[in-house]
Amino acid sequence: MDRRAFLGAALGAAVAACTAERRPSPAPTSAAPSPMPTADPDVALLTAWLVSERRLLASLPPAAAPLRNAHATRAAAVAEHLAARGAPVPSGPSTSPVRDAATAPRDASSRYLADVARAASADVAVLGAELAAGARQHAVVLALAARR
Amino acid sequence: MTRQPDALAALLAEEHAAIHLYGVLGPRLPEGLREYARLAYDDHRRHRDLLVELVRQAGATPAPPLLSYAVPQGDPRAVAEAIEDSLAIRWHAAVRLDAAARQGAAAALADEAAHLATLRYARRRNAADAVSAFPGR
Repeated sequence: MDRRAFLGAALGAAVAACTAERRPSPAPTSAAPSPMPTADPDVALLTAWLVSERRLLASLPPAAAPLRNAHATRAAAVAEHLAARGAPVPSGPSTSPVRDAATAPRDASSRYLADVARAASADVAVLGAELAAGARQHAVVLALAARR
Repeated sequence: MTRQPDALAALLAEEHAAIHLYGVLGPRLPEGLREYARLAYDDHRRHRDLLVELVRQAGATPAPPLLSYAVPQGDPRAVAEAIEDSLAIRWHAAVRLDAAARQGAAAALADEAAHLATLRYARRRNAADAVSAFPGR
C-alpha cells in the first residue's frame, strides 16, 4: 500500500470511528433534569483548526496550487469531523488574513502540536498530528522556494 | 487505548537504523543537502531518546542498536527518502497508541514530514511532489 493510500485509509477509518462513536446522551440516572447536554471537548479544537487551515489556504497565491490543494483537503477533513459530531461547520473562506505568510505555517504547526495533547479522542489527535505535519511541509517548501 | 511495547520497539529499531544510515549517507548526499542531513541526524537521535523513554515507561527494556546495518544501494537521496517515508508511517500509527506518547509522536511525524518535503523538493524541484495531502486523500 503506498503512502497516500495508507493515510487515506487511516483517515477513512478515523472518520468512520468518529461516526460510530456518536451515541445519544445517556439517560439521566436521577429525576433531576439535565440542564445542558455534555459538550464534546474536541469541537472547539476542530473549529479552531478549520479556521486555521482556511487562513493558511487563503495566504497562498493561486500559483501555489499543490499547497493550496493540500490545505483544502485538510480543511475538508476537519469539516467532516465536525459534521460527524453534529457540530456546526463554519462556512466560507477565511476573511482574516495571516499576519506573516512566511511564518504562519510553522506557527500553525506548533499550535496543532500543542492541541494534540488536549484532544479527547484519539481520532482527533491523529488529525491534529496530520495537520501539524502538513503545515510543517508548507513551511519547508516556502523556505526552500525562497532560497532558489 | 493501550501502550504497545512491540510497536514502540519496532519504531526504536527503525530509528536506530536511521541514525546509522544518516551517518553513512550524509557525506554521500549532494552539497545542498549536507546541512539537512545534519539536522535530520539530530532529529532521529531525539526521536530515539524519546522512544527509549517510552519503551521504559511501558515496562520493557529498550534494545540497543545493532553493530552494523546494511546500507541500501542507489541514489542516497532516494535511500534517505525511503527511510523517512517508512518512519512517517510508523510515527503516524504511534500517535494513536497511547495518550502519553501522542504529542511526542505527533512532533516526530511533523519532523519526518519536513524531512520528506526537503528530500522530495531537492530531487524534483517542485512543490507538487514535495507535499503530501495529509490526511492523504
